[in-house]
Amino acid sequence: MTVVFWVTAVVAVITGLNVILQRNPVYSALFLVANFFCLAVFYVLLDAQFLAAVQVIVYAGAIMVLFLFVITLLSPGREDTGDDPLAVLRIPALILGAVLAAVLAVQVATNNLRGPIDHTHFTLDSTCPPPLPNHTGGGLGCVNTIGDQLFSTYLFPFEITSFLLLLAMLGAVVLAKRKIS
Amino acid sequence: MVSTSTYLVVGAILFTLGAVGVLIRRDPLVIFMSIEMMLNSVNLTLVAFARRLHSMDGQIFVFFVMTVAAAEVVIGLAIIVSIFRTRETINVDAVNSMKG
Amino acid sequence: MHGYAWLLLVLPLLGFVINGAVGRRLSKNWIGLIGCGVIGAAFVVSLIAYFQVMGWSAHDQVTKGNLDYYQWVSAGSLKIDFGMLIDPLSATMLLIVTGVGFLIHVYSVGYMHEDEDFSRFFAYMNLFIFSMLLLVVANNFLFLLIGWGLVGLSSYLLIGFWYQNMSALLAARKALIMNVIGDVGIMLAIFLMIRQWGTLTYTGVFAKAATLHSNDHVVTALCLLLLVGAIAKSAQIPLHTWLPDAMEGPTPVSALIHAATMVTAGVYLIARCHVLYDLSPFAAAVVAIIGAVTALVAATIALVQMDIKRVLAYSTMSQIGYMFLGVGIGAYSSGMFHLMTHAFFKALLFMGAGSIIHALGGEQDLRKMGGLRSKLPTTYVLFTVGVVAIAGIPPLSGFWSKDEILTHAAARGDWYLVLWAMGVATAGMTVFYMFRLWYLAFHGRSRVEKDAAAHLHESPPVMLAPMWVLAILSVIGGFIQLPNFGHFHDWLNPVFNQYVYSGNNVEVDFNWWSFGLLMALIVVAFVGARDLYRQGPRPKLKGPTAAIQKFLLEKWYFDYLYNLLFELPTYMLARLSWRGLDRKLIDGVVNGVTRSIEGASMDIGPVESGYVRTYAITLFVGVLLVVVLAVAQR
Repeated sequence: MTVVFWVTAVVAVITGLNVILQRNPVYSALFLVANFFCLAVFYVLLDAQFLAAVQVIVYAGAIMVLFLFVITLLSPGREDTGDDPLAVLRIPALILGAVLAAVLAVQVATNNLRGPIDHTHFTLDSTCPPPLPNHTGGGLGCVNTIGDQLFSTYLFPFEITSFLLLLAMLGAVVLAKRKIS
Repeated sequence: MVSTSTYLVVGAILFTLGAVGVLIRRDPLVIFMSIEMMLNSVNLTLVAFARRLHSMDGQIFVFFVMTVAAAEVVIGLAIIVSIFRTRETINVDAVNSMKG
Repeated sequence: MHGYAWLLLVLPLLGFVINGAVGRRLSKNWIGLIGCGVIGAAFVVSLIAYFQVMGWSAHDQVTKGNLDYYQWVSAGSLKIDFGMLIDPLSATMLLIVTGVGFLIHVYSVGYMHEDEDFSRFFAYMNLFIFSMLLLVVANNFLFLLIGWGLVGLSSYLLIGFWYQNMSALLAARKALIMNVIGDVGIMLAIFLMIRQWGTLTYTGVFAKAATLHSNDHVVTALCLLLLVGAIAKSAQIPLHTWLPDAMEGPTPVSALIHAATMVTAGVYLIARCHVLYDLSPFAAAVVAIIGAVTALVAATIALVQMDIKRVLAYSTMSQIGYMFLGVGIGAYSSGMFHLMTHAFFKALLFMGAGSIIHALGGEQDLRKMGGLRSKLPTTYVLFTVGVVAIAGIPPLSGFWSKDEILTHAAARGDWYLVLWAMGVATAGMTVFYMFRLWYLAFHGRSRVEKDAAAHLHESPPVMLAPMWVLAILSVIGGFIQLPNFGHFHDWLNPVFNQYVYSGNNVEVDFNWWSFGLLMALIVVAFVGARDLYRQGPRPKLKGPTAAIQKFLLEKWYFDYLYNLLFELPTYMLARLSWRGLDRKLIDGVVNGVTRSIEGASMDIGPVESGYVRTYAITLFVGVLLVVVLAVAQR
């Protein structure tokens, strides 16, 4: 499993770099899709199977498709027409990014979250890990656990989220509608 | 040896990449994608911690983050589309009428 | 008495409110009816009060009339109530104010008939009567001051009645400023009273004062402060310059306020505070000196005046000087007696002058009159009565009151004889200038201008009838106080003998020397006036006499002096404040602040470049800072 992790990690970083470095936004989108797949692999490695599935379905499957629709709708690839008036900001941005990375890395390195992740129970037949204590349903990451949590402890956010989605839908329709002149 | 911190480092790197992307790209769609990358890196961090602490809270959180991110993408793209309609360009620098 | 005395104040106030609020919509008849009616009613009430007081014993007369109405101020240890005092002194003033006031109101119906602001005039006149009555009936100094101030206000409103004229406005302002100086004097006196004795009622203050010895500092200070108020209100030197200017107001105003009532308020005040002045011979002497000096100076100025109303104004000033002299030497009832007779004949004289002015369509200059004897016969007769009265020719009232004051002055002896001499000289001059006026206005060849002459007509009965009443009073009014027959003195005696028996205010024997001298002077002055002015105005004087005449015409240069001392520095200070302080300093600071803010915002403006990405990077920097800080905490 370690190998899987390292390979996926490298691919994730490379695709991430490409997302921001590609001229053509379609390429950026495609690389982002690849990035999402890598993340899905990470989720599986971390006992979040349901989330891995949701990641692929929602993010890679819906959101990125939507992105690609809009990119193709709005004259793809014709960015950078003319000079960038804020070209001066590029170097500072990079420097700041480096600083952020450094800060975060130092933080991560100096904490005591060193204990190894236990991958022993991981098998390729899709049985759930042993159940969690105090939980009905399955173990960490299983669908029934998530369902159990969503409809008990996190019921209120769940309902609110449905309302939020409704709003988003309405908003999108109103915003993107052609005005009837 | 893969520890939780390794996952966190990966998340940190992705986050930084996303932040820099927001700052140096001019196409709003690419900026948006960089923002999505940032959100995802945070998701990764949350799941890593959920695994470490053996708790479902992290994963539920991620669930909601994904939902909200989806809604946000929808609205954001709708805005970009309507701006394009009025301005005929999606150069983010063109949206500067609030200057001064 | 408690049950009806308040009508004295409410009735005129009612007239003021009605005429002031809805007068514009009423017919002139109604306005006049209301305006005169309330004063007439007040006169009736005054009569009732007078008869009631007359029926009391001497002790009751000064105590029973003290009516309490309600509490006005109750602040800690300071308690001031609204109350009235109806004793012989205030009853006398009531009759004078409401009686003469009523006659003048009736007269005004005729005089002001053409005026558009008919209702406003009567509203203000009623306000004045209300204020004057408040002043007179108040039983404590606070309400005296309130009435005092309101009287000043009414005077301002009435002098400036024809506000379209700049000269009227300036005169009104001058009058108000000088009156306010007097108000301050009284206010300071009130403060002193509160501080020393904690009371403001007449009974309280006088009782406390009576325990002190003669020439006590507090008492003297009070006397002098109150005197400031009296001087301002009664137009004595040095606060006299407003009175001649006040003639800008309509003639009935001059008659009522500046002859018969308001200007006598000062005399009333001193008479009311006789206890204080009895206890402070120094202050009393000051009063007497001021009175005598004013009488003399005013008479000299009257000698050369060409405006009929101004002659009368200076004459008023002079006669009030006599009253001040009277109360200053302790002859309080003599001063009050002269106040009463003067009210009669001075109001009459002003009314007569108004009659002439009305007939001539507004002309007031003596050089443009003459020969009116045949054209205005009734006015001529009535006016003559007034002139004879003021000249002090027996047996008219003016003689009795004037002579009594002079007799008292002579009786005092010592240096008071100087004052007596001044009074006698003044009497002579009074005869002279009044007959000069009489000759120039009524006798000789007519110098009236053509368009005025065409207009010439005798006044209507509504104007003449009050004059007849006053003429009769001027003739017989003196008979209530004759030597050895002094009813007036006996009537007022209980008031002036309260608290302190100073030996003042006693009757003195008739002084034949004084009388004889006076008569001789009267004859000389009359003959002089007749010879000089029978034909008309004199030609222009030359040489040193011309200089004297100029000096007198310029009113002894008082106006110039005040202008130099007060107005000029004030203007300069105002200009300096405006140019230097306001424009340069304050505007500079304010504009400077504006400019610096503008400049700063110009400089900061570009931050809001409108570029989303700059905002993004700023956000990012901020987030980074927060993260670093959070990390550094660990």
